Formats: sequence, structure tokens, C-alpha cells
Amino acid sequence: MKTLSKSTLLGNMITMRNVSVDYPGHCVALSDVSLTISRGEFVFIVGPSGAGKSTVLKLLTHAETVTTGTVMVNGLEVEKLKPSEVPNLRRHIGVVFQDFGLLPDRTVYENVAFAMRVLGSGRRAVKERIPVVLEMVGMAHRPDAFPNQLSGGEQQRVAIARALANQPDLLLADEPTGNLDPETSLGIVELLHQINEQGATVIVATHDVAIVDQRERRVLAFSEGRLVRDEACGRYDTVAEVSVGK
Amino acid sequence: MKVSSIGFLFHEAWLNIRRNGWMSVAALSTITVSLAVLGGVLWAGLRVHEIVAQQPQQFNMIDVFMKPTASRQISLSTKTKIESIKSVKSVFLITKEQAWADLTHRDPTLTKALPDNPLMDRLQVVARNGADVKNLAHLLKNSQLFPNVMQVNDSGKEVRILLSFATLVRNIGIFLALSLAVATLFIVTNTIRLTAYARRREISIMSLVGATSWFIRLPLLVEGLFHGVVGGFIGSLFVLAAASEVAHFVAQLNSPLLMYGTSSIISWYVIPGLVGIGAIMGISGSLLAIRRYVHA
Repeated sequence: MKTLSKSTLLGNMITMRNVSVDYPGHCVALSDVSLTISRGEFVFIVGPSGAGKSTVLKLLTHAETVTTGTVMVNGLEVEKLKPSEVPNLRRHIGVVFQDFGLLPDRTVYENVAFAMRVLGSGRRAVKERIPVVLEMVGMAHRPDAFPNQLSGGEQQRVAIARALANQPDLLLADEPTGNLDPETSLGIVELLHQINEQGATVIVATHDVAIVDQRERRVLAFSEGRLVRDEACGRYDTVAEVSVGK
Repeated sequence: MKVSSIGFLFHEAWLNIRRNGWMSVAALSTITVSLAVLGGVLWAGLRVHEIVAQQPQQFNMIDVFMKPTASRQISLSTKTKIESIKSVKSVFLITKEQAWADLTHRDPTLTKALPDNPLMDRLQVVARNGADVKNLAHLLKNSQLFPNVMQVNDSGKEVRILLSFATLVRNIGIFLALSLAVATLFIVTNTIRLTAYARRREISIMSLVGATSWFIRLPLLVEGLFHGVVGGFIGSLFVLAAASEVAHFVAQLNSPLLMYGTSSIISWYVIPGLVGIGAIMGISGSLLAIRRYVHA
């Protein structure tokens, strides 16, 4: 992980102002969302399916574009980026998915190396970096295993290692525990917490009540495309109350 | 781009080809056949035109025999008149005395048996183009324009057969070449499209971690290039083998058409030629597929 200076840590990693996203057919994915996330924060984005959690993450990587509003990531105004500038934005962001997204015909080592090689890292740099990230996620003992030889939790650890390979400033995890049992889920969140402690901003979109309640970190709750709660040391269950109360 | 990245791109392209095993074999086979036929047709077309071009003395020439009553002055004025025709390259007068001397040299027994020189002045007309011979001969046969001409001998039939064959070969060649070019493009495009589908996870990861769109596309371009280049190379070997067989067969025919010198076409040029065409087809097919199916 890159060592971030104190001045850098104090700035905002993400700023969203009056962001709305409409899909064709008048389907509203996000409606007038404004929020800021500082560098080095650990944030849970919670809410039921269709609430807009994944849309927020997609906006941050320019996988989705706003209908109105402004999104700033790492000092870059995302919607104003030219297509040729998008790769530069993404190089500072690591992404982890619910389905792990590993390449089934490549080993653990090759999966992580792939993310580095496509950004131009040489063999030597890859050789030096991969043991470090595999050690960090607790997978240093199985570099030659293929994804189908690993448990769900192990596969997610490899996916996190891949996301960390290029030393991102921001780590986005979209339902990272969705396919895991409760015990494994807590282990994955603990790993994300450790990564956050080393300086990276971590945003986890989830509807896993247990991991949110256990950590008591900042919670952004979404419902029907609206940000309905922003709580510094929040819990998941209040989301249901807000939704019911609406 | 770094050297290690170039190595990585080629490695990825090779993985694509291996992973798409049978589709790659199918694409390679079709491209090979297409380019071999294309090369064969082009070769045949060039060779026929070369044979036509090598025989101007025989097929561009018309012999105009003057009437025995025509004086030398009339022969010369007819020569001047024919020379003024646009499609005429040159006209030579072969006097009856020259013709007699030539015949005496070639067949003295015959000339000794003859009491007198029965030959007539002859104008040897060379047309600018083999294709003009028919019309030119027709014009020279016009007794109103050339009243002192007795007979016009041209090689019209042979020329017409040879030229129509050359035209047929050329037209079939163009048609086949265009059809095969379209088929080859379609096959390469489809192969790369399947590769892009098979690689959708890799493409998604590359895009997500911030690889540039060209870095994502290059392995697919390299794959198309590979199919084109290898297909062109194998195809050119087929063409060379076929050309050698055809040349051997034609040599056995002892045809008078083929007695005027050897071909100036350098056989081995077919290899870079077809490899080059294959490379262009491969890259074009890849670009079409990438433009349509890869959105990085």
C-alpha cells in the first residue's frame, strides 16, 4: 500500500454533488445524491437490492455516467474525463466483486500477476509484489492453486489481492461477502479493515447485516435511489426503520 | 510500450489462439484456402497476360499482300496510308524481290522450279495492341479504302481466343478475389468475435484495472494478424507447388504459344505477396470485430 502523507489523508477522496442517474424507461437509479468520503475512510453503503448501491460504485469507476450532478474521485471530475483518461482514473481504484471474477484457467499467482502485467509491470516487479499481496490476504501458501481448488473465502481473498496488486488509493467492494458463509464473511471484512488501516480508502456495498453491525463504521444507507442516512458509527438495522418510515 | 508489455501481448494472443483451438484451425484453414485460390488466380491471370505480351511478333502482326499489278509506288503510298492509322504501331514493306531472295535462301529447290518470281509486295503491319488486330484487319480488307490490296492475313482467331481467355481469367480472378476477400474478412471477424467472447473476463478485468483500450485490443489484433500471416504463408506454398505442377504439365504439351522465352514472374515473390495480403485481411477482420464487439 502507498504511504499517504497527512495532508493527502485530510482531503476528500470522493465528492458527489446532486447526482442523479436515470436509466432508459424513466427508471431512477439514483436521485439527487450528495456525499463526501475522506481519504482513508472505511464506509459501508447499505440498502436493499435496487437501492442504488452498485450504481454509486459504478459511477466512481466511470462504468456508469451521471444524468445530472458531479462526481469527483481522487481530484478528478469523472464525468468530464475523455475516454482516453478513464484508464488513469481506474489505475488508482481496486475493485472486488461478489462473484470474485477470477480467471478460472489461471493460478492464484497468474490471476494477480495479470492485473499488474496489463498495466505494464515487468516480470521482476510482479515477482516482488505478488508475494507481498498474497501474504497480506493470507494466500501466500497457495500461489499455484487454480480458483476451482479454492473455497469461496479463499477466492475472495485472491480477488482482493488482485485489487491491491497495483497499490490503489481506493478499494471498492461490491457485495464482497454475498457468496460467503457468516464466519468467512467476517474474515473478509477484517481483511478489508486491515487494508484500510494501511491507508487505502475502502468502500463496501453490502446488505450483510452482520458485518455492518460488527464493525460500526460510517454507514451510507440508500433506499430507492436516495441517500436516506449518513451515520458516522452506524448499524445496518436502522435502514429498515427509515425505509418503513418513508 | 515496454518490451515486457509486448511480450505479454504476444503471450496473451497465443493463449487466445490455443484456447480457441478448433475455431483457430477452421479460421486458419479457410484463410489458407482463400489466399491460395486468390494467389493461384492472380498467378494464372498474370501468366496468361505475360504469354500474350511475349508474342507480339506473332499476334500483333497483319500481313497485307498487294495485288501483283500494284507498282512499288502504290505499295509505298499504301504503306504511308496505313501508317497514318492510329492503332498501327509500324509498317514494314517487304518487296517481292526481298521475299524471293528469302525464299531462295530457305527453299532453293522450289525457286529453281519456278520460271519467274510469282510473289507480290507485302506490308507487314504491327498493331499497337493485340486487341486492335481484328478491327485493323477488317479495315485493311476494305477494298474502297485500299483498292490495291489483294489479301489480308491476320492471326485474329488465335488472338481472340487467347485474349478472351486472358479476359475470362482476369474477370474470374477479380470475382473470386473479391468473394474470397469478403469471406476471409467474415471468417477473421467471426473468429476474433468468438475470442472476444471467450476473453470477456480478461477484457473486463483489464478494463477495470485501467488498461488502455489499445492494450486490451492489441492481443486480438495480433491474433488476426497471426491467422492472416500464417494462412498467407501456407497458401503461398500451395500456390508454388501448384504452379510448379502446372508448369511441368504445360511444358509437356510443347505448345507453340509457350516457346517465346520464360516467365519473368519471380516465384518466391508469391510468399511475401500472399503473406502481406493475409496480414492486411487479418488486421482488417480483427479491427471490424473489435469495433463491433469490444467495448473497453
